[in-house]
Amino acid sequence: MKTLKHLIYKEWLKTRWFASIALLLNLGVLIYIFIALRSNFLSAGGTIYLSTLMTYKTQFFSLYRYIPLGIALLIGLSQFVPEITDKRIKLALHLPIHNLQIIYIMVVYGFVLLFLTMIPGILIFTGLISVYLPAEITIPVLQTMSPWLLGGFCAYFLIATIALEPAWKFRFLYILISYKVLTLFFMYLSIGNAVSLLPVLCLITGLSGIAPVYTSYRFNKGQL
Amino acid sequence: MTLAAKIIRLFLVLLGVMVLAMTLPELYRKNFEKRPGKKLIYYSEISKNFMISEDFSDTLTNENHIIYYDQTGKRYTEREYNRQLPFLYTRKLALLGELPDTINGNKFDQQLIKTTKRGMLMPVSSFTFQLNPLFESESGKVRPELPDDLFRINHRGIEFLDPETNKILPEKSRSFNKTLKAAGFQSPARNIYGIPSTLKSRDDGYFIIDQRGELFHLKMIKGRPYCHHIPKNISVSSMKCMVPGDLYAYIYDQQQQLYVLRTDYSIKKLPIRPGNGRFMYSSNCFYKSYKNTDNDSIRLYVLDADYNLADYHAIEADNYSKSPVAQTEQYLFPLKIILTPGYAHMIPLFNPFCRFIWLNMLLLIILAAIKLQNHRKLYNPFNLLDLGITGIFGIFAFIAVLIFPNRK
Repeated sequence: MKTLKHLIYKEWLKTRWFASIALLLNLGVLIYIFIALRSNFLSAGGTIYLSTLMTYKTQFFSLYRYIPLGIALLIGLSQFVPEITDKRIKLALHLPIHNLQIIYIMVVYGFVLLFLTMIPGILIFTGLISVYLPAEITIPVLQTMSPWLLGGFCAYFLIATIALEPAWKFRFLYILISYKVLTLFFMYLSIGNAVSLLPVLCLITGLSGIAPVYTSYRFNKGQL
Repeated sequence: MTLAAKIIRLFLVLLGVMVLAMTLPELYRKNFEKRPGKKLIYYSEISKNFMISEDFSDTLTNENHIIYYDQTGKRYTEREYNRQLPFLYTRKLALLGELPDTINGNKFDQQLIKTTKRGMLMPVSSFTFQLNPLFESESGKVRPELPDDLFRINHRGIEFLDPETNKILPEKSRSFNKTLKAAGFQSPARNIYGIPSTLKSRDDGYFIIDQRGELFHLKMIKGRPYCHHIPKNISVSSMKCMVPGDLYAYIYDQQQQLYVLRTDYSIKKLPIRPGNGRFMYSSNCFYKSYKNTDNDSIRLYVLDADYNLADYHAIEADNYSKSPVAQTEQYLFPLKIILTPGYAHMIPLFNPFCRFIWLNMLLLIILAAIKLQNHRKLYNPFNLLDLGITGIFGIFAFIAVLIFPNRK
């Protein structure tokens, strides 16, 4: 238990400032989007604003698209780059805990941090826009934003996977594969059309969540 | 490797196959596809012939010219071709002073030109907001005006919302609910089709599919609800509502067969082969034409004012699938994965020709040789799985297996 606390504290020391920046970035962008929505709604009038939004399927929230990816990069890189510099992670792997457990304490920490950085902001955003927009618009908006949030989690897990890979040539190949995988999450889709892709994206995110098992095993065995 | 790591590796290989199946065929086509010359076909109301234009271009010699002919092979100059299609080239002919005085005994004036409509019909389902403005259908004004509320039809029935306050208008909702129930409507609505825009000369209301799949017509006439049940014996897949004319809407059934819903509520099946379901339509007071382009041909159906077949012609489509580059592609890729337009679905399109099997076998042999060189036991289940996946998915699996190594 003590070791667990120390591990978590070590991760916190690495990521605290980056997580704070990520939290402020997330909240800042969402609040800006809400303020812009409110301003346009009040100046155009509810009827005209909603009719225009529904006719042209305006993505008033498109500014948020790459924010989850940015947050994942901030937290993932701040967490794993120090570990792979001079292979410092080997120090943590000498602790009297199974190696895979140590890796997954780090990964779960990052996942929870990512969750706490993104999701409360989304919940607050949903509450705010629901004041002006009916459920028939709010729900498709959230469905359209869901791939971006999933993309953030997937990006974090892929960063962990790539960081733990011991050989640089394979790291490079994983970066290429990860780039193509992440384009699925962040490609442009009209409002509401992403809902049919969500099961596939959830599957890919789940798979990326267990991918560090593979590369961490290769790292532990020193495979090249 | 532990069993868990090996199993996860297999899933990563399959992910790699998926990614490569989306990327490599697209890259191949972008780099090697030569765009075929464009062929266009239209129907001439003047000569009752099918007028075809064919584009020849050669990027090497920088030559580019278009030839014009009809279905009998008779050649035309560009100006003769334009004169055969006055509804299509109205502006050009007007500038040249070559507009016809009459067509089929009718004066060719602004009123006749205004009967022209063009557009695209697609059976693709895409998201639509189930919240719409219900316009006043008989306002007496030039265009319908945007109402102060929006309606939705959920399990509670029809509800009118005030957008300013995001609250329901109970009186109006109750009044419309009563009319809907009297017409036999069962909430909630599966789909609502209409034109939620003021850019039309008249409002024809909305067409709504209820919970049982029945079709209803909903309008507001002088502030009062109007709901009419439209009997049908087809299962509606999608509808495209038209701006006011002799039609309310086009209807697609589940087999992508096209129907028209006329203003007397009759539903008529169009004498058109569904094909891929995508049609460019063009209509005027004389004829309605529907053009469908698929892999092999461009088909143009010409219907009369009553939607009966008046004429039909098909020309060969010069497209990618017949080119040498496409023939080579069949030897390379066992499948490709595409994203559908509208609601995004990842669809694997399997190569119907088995020519890729030779490359798959060769890659399988190469992979086996690599494993043997690395002193791997081929009878190991995970090595066998690698070989099996390569035999099925070919070049995609070969690359993915090498990207995610399976060391001793």
